[in-house]
Amino acid sequence: MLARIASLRSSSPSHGTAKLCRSCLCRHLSTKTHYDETVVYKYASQKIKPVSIGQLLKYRRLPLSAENILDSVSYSQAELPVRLAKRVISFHRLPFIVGTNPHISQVYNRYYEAFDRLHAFAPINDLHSEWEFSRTLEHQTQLLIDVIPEIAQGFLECKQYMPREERTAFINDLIRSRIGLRVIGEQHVALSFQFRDEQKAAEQRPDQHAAKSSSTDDVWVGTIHTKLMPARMMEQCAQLVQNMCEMHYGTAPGYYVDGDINETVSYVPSHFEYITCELLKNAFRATVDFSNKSGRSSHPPIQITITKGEGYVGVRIRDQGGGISKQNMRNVFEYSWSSVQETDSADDNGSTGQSMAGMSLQTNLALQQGLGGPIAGLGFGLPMARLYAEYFGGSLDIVSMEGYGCDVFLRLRSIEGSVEDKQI
Amino acid sequence: MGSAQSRRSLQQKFYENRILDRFTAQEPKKVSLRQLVLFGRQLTEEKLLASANYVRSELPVRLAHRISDFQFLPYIAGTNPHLKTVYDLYWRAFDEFRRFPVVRTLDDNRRFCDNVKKNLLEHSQVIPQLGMGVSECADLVAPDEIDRFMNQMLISRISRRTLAEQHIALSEQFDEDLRQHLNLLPSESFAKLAKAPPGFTTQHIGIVCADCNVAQLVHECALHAAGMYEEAFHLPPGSAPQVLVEGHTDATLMCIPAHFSYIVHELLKNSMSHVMERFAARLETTGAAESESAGDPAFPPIRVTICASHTDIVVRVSDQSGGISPQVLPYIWSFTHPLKAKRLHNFHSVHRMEARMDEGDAAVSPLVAFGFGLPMSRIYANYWGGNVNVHSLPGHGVDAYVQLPRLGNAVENISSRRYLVSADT
Repeated sequence: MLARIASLRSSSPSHGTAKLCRSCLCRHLSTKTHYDETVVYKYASQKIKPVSIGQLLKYRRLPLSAENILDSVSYSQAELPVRLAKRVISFHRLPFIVGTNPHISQVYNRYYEAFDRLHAFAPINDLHSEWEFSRTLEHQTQLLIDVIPEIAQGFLECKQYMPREERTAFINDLIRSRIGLRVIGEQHVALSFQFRDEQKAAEQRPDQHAAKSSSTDDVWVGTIHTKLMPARMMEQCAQLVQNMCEMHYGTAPGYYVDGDINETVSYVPSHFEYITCELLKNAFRATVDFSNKSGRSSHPPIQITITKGEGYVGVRIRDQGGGISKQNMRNVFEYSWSSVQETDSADDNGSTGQSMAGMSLQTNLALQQGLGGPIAGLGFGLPMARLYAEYFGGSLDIVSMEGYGCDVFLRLRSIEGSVEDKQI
Repeated sequence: MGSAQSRRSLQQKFYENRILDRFTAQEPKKVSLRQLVLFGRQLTEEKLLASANYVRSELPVRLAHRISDFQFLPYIAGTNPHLKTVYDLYWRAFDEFRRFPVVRTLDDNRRFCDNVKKNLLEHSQVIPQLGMGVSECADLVAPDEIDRFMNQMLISRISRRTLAEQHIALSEQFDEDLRQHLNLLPSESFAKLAKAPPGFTTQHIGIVCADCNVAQLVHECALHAAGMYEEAFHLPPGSAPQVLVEGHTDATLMCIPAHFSYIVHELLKNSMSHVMERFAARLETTGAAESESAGDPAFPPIRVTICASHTDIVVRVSDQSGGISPQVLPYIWSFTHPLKAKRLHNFHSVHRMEARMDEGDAAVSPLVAFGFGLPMSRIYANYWGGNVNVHSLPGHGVDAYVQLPRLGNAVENISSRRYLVSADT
C-alpha cells in the first residue's frame, strides 16, 4: 500500500497546475506574511476536534462506499486547516531572529502554503471535488515530509537565541501536531485511493466484487495495518540497518529475533518502522564504535525480543555497544544533541543517499540522518521516536549499562478502536 | 498501660519536644564507604573511641529527625498502636543515646557497644510494626504520603544500623586483636602491631568490603534462594530455576555485602517464584522434577548479566516469568496499594525482621509474601547513591536492574528534611 502511494507521488502527472500556483504563491506569500493575517488567525482560533482511533478505524468493513469517503473528507476538510493554522501561528511567536533563519522560515512558508491551499476549497459534496482535495492534500503532505530535518538544522543554528525549554516545547508541539496531521491526512488519502482502486476492480470484475474475499487488503484500514507482524517488521528493519551499517562502516554486528514471533498487532506500519529503525540504528552504530574502542575481535549480536501482552506489543532491543554514560543519558532525549562525531558526516560521500525501496520516505530520511548521511547527528532521533511511541499510548524507555550496552524497551499499544483509545 | 496514662504520656511528650528540637536542628554528619574503609584500616584506640563518640552523637540526631516525621503524620495515624510502638521505641532510644556519657576508655566503649547491641535487637521489630501500622492506615493517609514516610523511615534506619554495626564490628575486631597481642611476647607483640592485624585483611573493614566480587555474591544469593524454595516446595535439589551469570564476571566493587545481597536475593526470589509459578505444570511431570540428566531443565534459566564501568556496576536480572500484570505494575514500588494491604497483614505472623538475606531460615516461610521486597531493595540501593529499576515485557518476563556506584565515594543519601523528595521510578 505504501509502495503504491510512493509510486503515485513520484509519477505526479497533474502537478503542473500545482507548480504554477506555487510560484505565484511564493510571491504572494512575501506580502502575506505581515498584512493579510486575519484568515489564518480566524482558523487558528478555532478549537481542535480530536478524533479517536476508533473513528479512524470505522471504515474497517470493506468495501468502502461513496458515503464513507465523503464522510471522511468532511472531517479532514474541517479539521486540517485549523491544525495547520495553529502551526503557522506557532511560528509567529518565535523570536524574530529565529524566524529569519532560512531553514525555519522555509518550513514556515511550507505550512503557510499547505494551509492556504487546503482552506480555499469550497465545501465538498461530490466525489470529483473530493478527489481534487485528496490530491492536493497528498501533494501538500509530501511537501511537508522533510520539515523535521529542516527544523532540526534551523534550531541547531539558533541554539544561542532561544532557551532550551522553549526550543524543546516548540519542537514537541510541532512534532506531535505533525503526527496528528499526517495520520488524519494520510488516512483520508489512503481511503480515497483505496475506494478508487476498489471501484476500478469492481468495474473490471463485477462478479468477484460481490463476493467478499478475505484478501490481504482486508487488513488495511487506511494507513493502519490490523495484522502487522512485529517480528517480521523487525527482521526487515534490522536487515536494512545492517546493510547500511555495513555500507558506512565496512562491518556490522549480527542480530536475531526471538520471543512471540507470530504475534500480530494493529498499528501504523510507517510509525513502527520509523521508531524501530531509529533504535536499531543506534544499537548497530554503538556496537561497531565500541568494538573499535575496546578492541574486541567480533561484534556481539543485537538481540531483539518481541512480546505480546494485553493490548500491547513489547519490543526489547539489547545491544553490547558500551552503554551511554550518565552525563549523556540526561541529554539523549534532548533535541539538537547528538553523540555522532563530526568525522562521520565528513566521511560520507552520499553513498547512503540512495533510498531503500519499500521503506517509507520518512524512514529513509531517518536512516540518512543517523548513519552518517548528509544530515547526520542532528539529535532528533530519540526524542522523536519517543513521541511517536507515545502518540498512540505507548512508551519508550532506555536502560544504559555503562561499559556494557543498552536495553531499549518499546511498548506500542494496539490500535483496536476501543473506548480507551487516545484522541488525536 | 491504661489509656489515661498513655494520653498523659503523649501530652508530656508534647512539652518534652523542646529537647528534640535541639537535635532536629542539627544536620546529620554523613559518611561515605571510602571514609569508613580508610578510617577502619589502621585502627588505634584513639580512633576507636572517636568512632564510638561519632556514633553516640549521630544516632540521637538521626533518630530525632525520624521522630519528628512521626509527629507530622496525621493525628489518627500517629495513634495507630503499631506506629505508636515504633514511635515509643524511637523515643526511648533517642533518650538513652543522648544521655550516654562521652566514651573515654575501652571499657566505656564496651559498655556503649552492649547498649547499642541491645537496641539493635529491640528494634528488629520495627519493620513488622511499621508494616502492620501502615497497612492499617492505608485508608486514612494518602498513599504518596505513606510511601514518602516509609522511604524516609527505612533509609534512616539502614543508616543508623550501618553506623552502629560498623562500629561494633570494628570494636570486636580491635578487642580480638588486643586479646591476641596480650598472649604474645612483648617483642612479638610489637612486631605484630606494626603491620595489619591478622584476620583483618585490608579488604574487609568491619561490615564493608572494598573489593566484593559481584559474580560470587550473585552465586551465593542464587544458591540461598534456590535452597529456600526447594525446601519450601519439597523439591529435590537443583530443580529450582537455574541462575546463569555472565558479563564482567571479574568485576568488584566497594560495598556492604549484606545490603547488596539483600537486593540481589530479593530480585532472584521474585524471578524464581514467578518462573516456577508460570511453569508450575512442569513441576508435576515426574520426568522434569526427578531427572537430573542433561536434557532440558524444567524452567527457563534466569540470566544475570554483570556490567562494570569505571564508576558503576549494573546487574541485570532477566527472567521469563511472563511479566508483571498491568494491574500490579504501577504499584510495585509502593508500600500501600490495596493489593498489598492484604500482604502487609502477613506481618502479624512475624515478630522480628531485619531485612537481611540470611534471616529467612529462621522466621518465615518464603511463601509468605510481604509485598515490600522491591521498595526495600530500592531503599538499600538509594542509600549509597544507586537504584533499582524494573522493566516488564508483557507476556514474556521481567528485566530488573540494580545499579550501584563502585568506588564508594558517594556519601549516604539520607535527608534531614521532613519529607524526602525521592527519585522517580
